[in-house]
Amino acid sequence: MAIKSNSLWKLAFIRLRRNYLAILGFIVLFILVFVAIFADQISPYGYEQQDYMMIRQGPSAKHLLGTDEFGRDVLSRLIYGSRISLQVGLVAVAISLFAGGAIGAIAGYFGGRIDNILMRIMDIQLAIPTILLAIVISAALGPGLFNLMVAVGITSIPRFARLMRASVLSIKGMEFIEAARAMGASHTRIILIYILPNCMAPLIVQSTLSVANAILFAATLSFLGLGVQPPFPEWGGMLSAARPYLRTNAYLSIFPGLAIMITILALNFLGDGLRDALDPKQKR
Amino acid sequence: MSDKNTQAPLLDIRDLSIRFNTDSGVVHAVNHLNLSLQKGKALGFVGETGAGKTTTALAILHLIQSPPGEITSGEILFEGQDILRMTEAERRDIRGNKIAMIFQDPMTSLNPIMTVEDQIMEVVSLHTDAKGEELRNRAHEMLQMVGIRPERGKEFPDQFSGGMRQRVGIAIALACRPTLLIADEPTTALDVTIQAQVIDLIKHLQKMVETSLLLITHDLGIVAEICDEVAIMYAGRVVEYSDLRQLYTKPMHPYTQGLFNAVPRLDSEPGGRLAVIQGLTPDPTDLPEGCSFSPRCPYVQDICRQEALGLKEYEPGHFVDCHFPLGMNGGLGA
Amino acid sequence: MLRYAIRRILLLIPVILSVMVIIFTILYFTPGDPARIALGQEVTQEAIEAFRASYGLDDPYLVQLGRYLYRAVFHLDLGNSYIMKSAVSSELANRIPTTMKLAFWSVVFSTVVGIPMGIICAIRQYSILDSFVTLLTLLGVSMPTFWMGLLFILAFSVHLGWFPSMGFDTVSEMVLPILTLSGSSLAIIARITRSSMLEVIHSDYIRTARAKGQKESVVIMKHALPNAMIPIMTIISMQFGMLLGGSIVTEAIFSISGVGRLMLEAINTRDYPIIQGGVLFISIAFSLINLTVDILYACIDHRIHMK
Repeated sequence: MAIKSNSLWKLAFIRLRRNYLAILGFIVLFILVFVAIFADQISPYGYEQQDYMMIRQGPSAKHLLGTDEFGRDVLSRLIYGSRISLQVGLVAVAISLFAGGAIGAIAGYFGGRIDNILMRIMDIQLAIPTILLAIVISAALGPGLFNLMVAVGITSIPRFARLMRASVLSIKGMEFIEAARAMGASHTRIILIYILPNCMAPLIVQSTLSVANAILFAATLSFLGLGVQPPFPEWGGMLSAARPYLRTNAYLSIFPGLAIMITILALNFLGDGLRDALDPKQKR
Repeated sequence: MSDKNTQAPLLDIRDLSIRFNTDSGVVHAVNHLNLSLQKGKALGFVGETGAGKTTTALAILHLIQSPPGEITSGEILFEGQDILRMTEAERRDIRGNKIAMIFQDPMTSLNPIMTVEDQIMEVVSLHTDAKGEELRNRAHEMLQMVGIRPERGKEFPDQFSGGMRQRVGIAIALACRPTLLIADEPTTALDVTIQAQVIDLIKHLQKMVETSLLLITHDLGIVAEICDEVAIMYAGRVVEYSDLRQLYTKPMHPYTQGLFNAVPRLDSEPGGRLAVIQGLTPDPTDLPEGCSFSPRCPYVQDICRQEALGLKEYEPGHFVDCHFPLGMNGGLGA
Repeated sequence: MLRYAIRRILLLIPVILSVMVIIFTILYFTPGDPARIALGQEVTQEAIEAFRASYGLDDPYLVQLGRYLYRAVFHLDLGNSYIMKSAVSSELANRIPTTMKLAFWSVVFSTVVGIPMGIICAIRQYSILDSFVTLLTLLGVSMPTFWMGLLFILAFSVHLGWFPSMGFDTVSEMVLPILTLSGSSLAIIARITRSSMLEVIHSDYIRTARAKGQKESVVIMKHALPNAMIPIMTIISMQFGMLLGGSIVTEAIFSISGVGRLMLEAINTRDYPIIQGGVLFISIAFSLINLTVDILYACIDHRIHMK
């Protein structure tokens, strides 16, 4: 098994390397992570630093992307904003990955009644459009970064649960699982050591694409005034703040949107590339 | 190909080359292939998987996906006309009408969301003036002919077994009484017991409809049962071609001989090993210089590695693509 | 076929009831006293108690939940708004036509444009047109709806002055909201159509159809498209849910008085009955669309209701 999966990853890596868009996506994401980590060093100004002499000034040498209604540097706010977006994306997906993964694994592994109950609950959740559920949950939890992560994370639990269940079902019947059970391995051990590593490929692909979705949702919630509150520089929140100045200072509405789009695009490129590389048969 | 035949052949493929441009290189699927088939005859087209048999068959219908496929040389004369130079409308007129094909995998070759009678009616309506009830009656006739109760025409392909689906495929192919029927490994995907039924059906219907048959297979037994002539294909070219009796009693190409030796016989010693042709079929992206079989040929000579000969008529009606055919003067084999 | 449809409709009932329970529960356990928010800070303790009593807010959770479900199911009564005091059902009834109109036309637009786009790309795979549309659809799925809306306003309203940036009554007012809301759905539908068609076009039965001498255009429309439609229809019905949810954003950007905007206002004022009603409406609409699509598929593909 180990040899086979090693060569699977190796092959996938070779295929991925040939996919220029995926490489581009990876490079963009790498830069984003770098920027987010070293925001303090890179950013020319603080995200709260106001300059009342420079209110809503267009791009200039001093402020490359201009300043906002409080005279804050837009570029610096975008740089700090990358921290929020990446954090929300990663933590939200981690929440849905763990919760959904556990639900799906239990449902698929034990089957029968447990499976039925868990998956019906997931179906019920899917009857509520995801963005709507995110809005309601974040309204209920109140504003704040952590609440935003939870609200966004909950919405994609069913997707991971279904994916995990399907993978577990396809692996459960294989002989090496039977063999492990015959050797007396516990359920937890079988799930974690034998089944999980063999479900990795679809989970990785889904996670990458879900990070994109989570960032999009987080920006949408903040845009609606539900997520991260000012003065924290969430990209969606920045767009919301820029709305009154759409006619006079369009750049304020353009740069944060571009930042979101480039991030999502990079994640989608990488996710599609990973899918093609890990599972070349299933192109969608 | 042979000047002793006064009558022009129904199908005459000359110097056909087809390649596929893929990511991992250019695949030379068919290389300077020559083949002909007389009206009313059945030709067995034998070779290993990947030898280019199906590609050749699809080329006759001009149904090779392009890109990546590309016909780089040759002509395919059908009733004296080059299919490769026809307009698409002229070719559509021939497909399903004068030339019909039975495909290898009956499980995937039928449209899953159309009833089987609709699928038969479609081909009839394309090539005849029949309409409405008349069309349906033709479809029912065809179903009956292949041994399916006409009432089942309203059913969908997934309600039929593999063998029954292949019968539907045969009904579609024969619905317009083609002059040439191409059967591409029609039984490979079926159970052994069903195989015999389907082969018998094809044999019977070929006589009844009076069509010529190009039977693609890797099964020498089936060829012996149905065909009048045999062409052996290797790495994209025909290496031996003659009538059935001549080829089976006296195979002259080392590859053909290898094929026969690899088939178990009733008189072969129990527990004895079958003779295996050494080596693997060549990589079609990187064919060897000279004769493609030279790397595996037990009788290989220097000239074989330098140039390929092309089909040569060593005996009347017996064509072999080999410098040193077996059993001939100068030949080295048994 | 009819039995299949009836069974599906019956299965919908427990789902909708569960949605009601979930939303009620989430909002019930939300911190903050709706009475205080509805009445403001400058209010007597008596007024707050009166408010709580009139909405039954002092009853235990199960009693409140039971009452809510009972009234909703047997009297179609979703309670009264805390702020506007009017019945939630009548508030919703006022707003539903606008939201349905927005969602409906967006689905129509994204389907009518997205499917042909996908088909053309699949037929002309690897052509310049294919690459261009693929790039466009990638941009489409990567742009947040609200940003797309702002860009449309900037381009077509502020700069070109072609369409107004507010309202949803006249045809010219409808253009930008529909474009905004359908943007990402259109992109997704085009992508799925392309990949689904590509898969089908390379299948054996398409080769069979060609071998019959059928015209390429007929092969595509009669054999390939209906087979490719199944995943496409799934996506379209899922997009309907996305669009209903997305209408909240679109309605906010273009100041459209639909259910979405009503809900957003209700969220800001903690007007729980309105939020519950809005979610319920959207979930029912979404479930009904899914159901319709499932029944439609069963019509295309007899294999589905056989199972």
